[in-house]
Amino acid sequence: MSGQIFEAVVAINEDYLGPAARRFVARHILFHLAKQPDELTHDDLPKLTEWTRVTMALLTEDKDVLEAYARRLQDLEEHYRGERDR
Amino acid sequence: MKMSLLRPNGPWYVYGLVMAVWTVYTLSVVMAHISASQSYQLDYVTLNIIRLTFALPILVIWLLAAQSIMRFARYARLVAKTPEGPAFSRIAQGLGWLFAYVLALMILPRLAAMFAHSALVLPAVFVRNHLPVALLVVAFSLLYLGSVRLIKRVPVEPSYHSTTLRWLAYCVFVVIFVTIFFGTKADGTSPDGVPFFAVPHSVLLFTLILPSIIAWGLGLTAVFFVYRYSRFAKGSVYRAALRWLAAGLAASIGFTILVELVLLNTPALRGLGLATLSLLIYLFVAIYAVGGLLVARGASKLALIEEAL
Repeated sequence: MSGQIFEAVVAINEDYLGPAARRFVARHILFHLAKQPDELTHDDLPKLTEWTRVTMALLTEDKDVLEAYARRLQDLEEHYRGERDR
Repeated sequence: MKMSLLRPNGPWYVYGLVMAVWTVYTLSVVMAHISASQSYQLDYVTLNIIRLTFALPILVIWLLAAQSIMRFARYARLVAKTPEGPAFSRIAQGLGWLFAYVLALMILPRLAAMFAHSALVLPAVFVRNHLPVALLVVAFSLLYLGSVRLIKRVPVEPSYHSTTLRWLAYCVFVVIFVTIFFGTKADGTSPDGVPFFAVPHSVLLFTLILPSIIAWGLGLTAVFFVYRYSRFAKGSVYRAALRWLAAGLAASIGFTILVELVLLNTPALRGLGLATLSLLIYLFVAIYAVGGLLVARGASKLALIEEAL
């Protein structure tokens, strides 16, 4: 499941960062969560997505892109929160 | 343009080396034969003041170019172990050789002028005319090899329309270049007493014209491939950063094409007035500077994607 969550976060980021997405997400997990990417859990998602949102705002000034990115991450969080609650 | 692009980046010895080359260049310009001043009816002091107004912007441009290459090389090192790494590494090397071409273009005419009245003038003229083209072939070959690796990462075939348009543009360039070449005379000397060419037209066709045409073909294809990669690669933010790089490469290659076209037509430059000639030089320098800044901006944005936390 952990690897699956990581891949889901990477898939969203790939639409913005292309081939750099996997490195981008792995770097954030290592630095901000002090974990390996395959150790990512549902509970880590809010903190991780918060950090990636902040960083994405450094990479682009396009508000539409930033809003869409934040919305997709939020949907992902809700999806896994729902799964966990079931 | 953000000020951070102007901040020094990379080892200081590179800037030292650029400064050293510029010092040699400026000294050789200032000490140049006075006959040039007679061509424009200027006294020696006025001529040197005009020469220095070129020398200072040239130093700034060279430092900016060195900076943009180092920024790009740094990005290439950051992604060295990724599938795109070797491609960006080749492009960084190509930009480095392109900078060597620009330096050779400025320095070699001054060095050749030093041999004006010696037995070595013809070999010096041969080196002056051919070394820049050799550097250009190396630079564009590396850019081409890098761009081919990049384009293989996006499985979108170019349309028939864009391929035809690209070949048509290239053929127009070739026809213009060859027409200008056959319109020039291989004999004749500059006001410094340096011959324009060291070998006959028939030899120049194979040693100067053909390599230039091949180099441009490689360079234009490289720009096209990098542009296509910047259009079709995955990731909207990544693509936006790549577009700066593609635009910078296009400006740099456009600069070399203009320079080679004008250099081939050197005898005709004698007919231009000082103001027109100055504007022409400033225009070329500005195109190269813009290219360098665009590459630096693209490299900074790409590096930020790899490092931001």
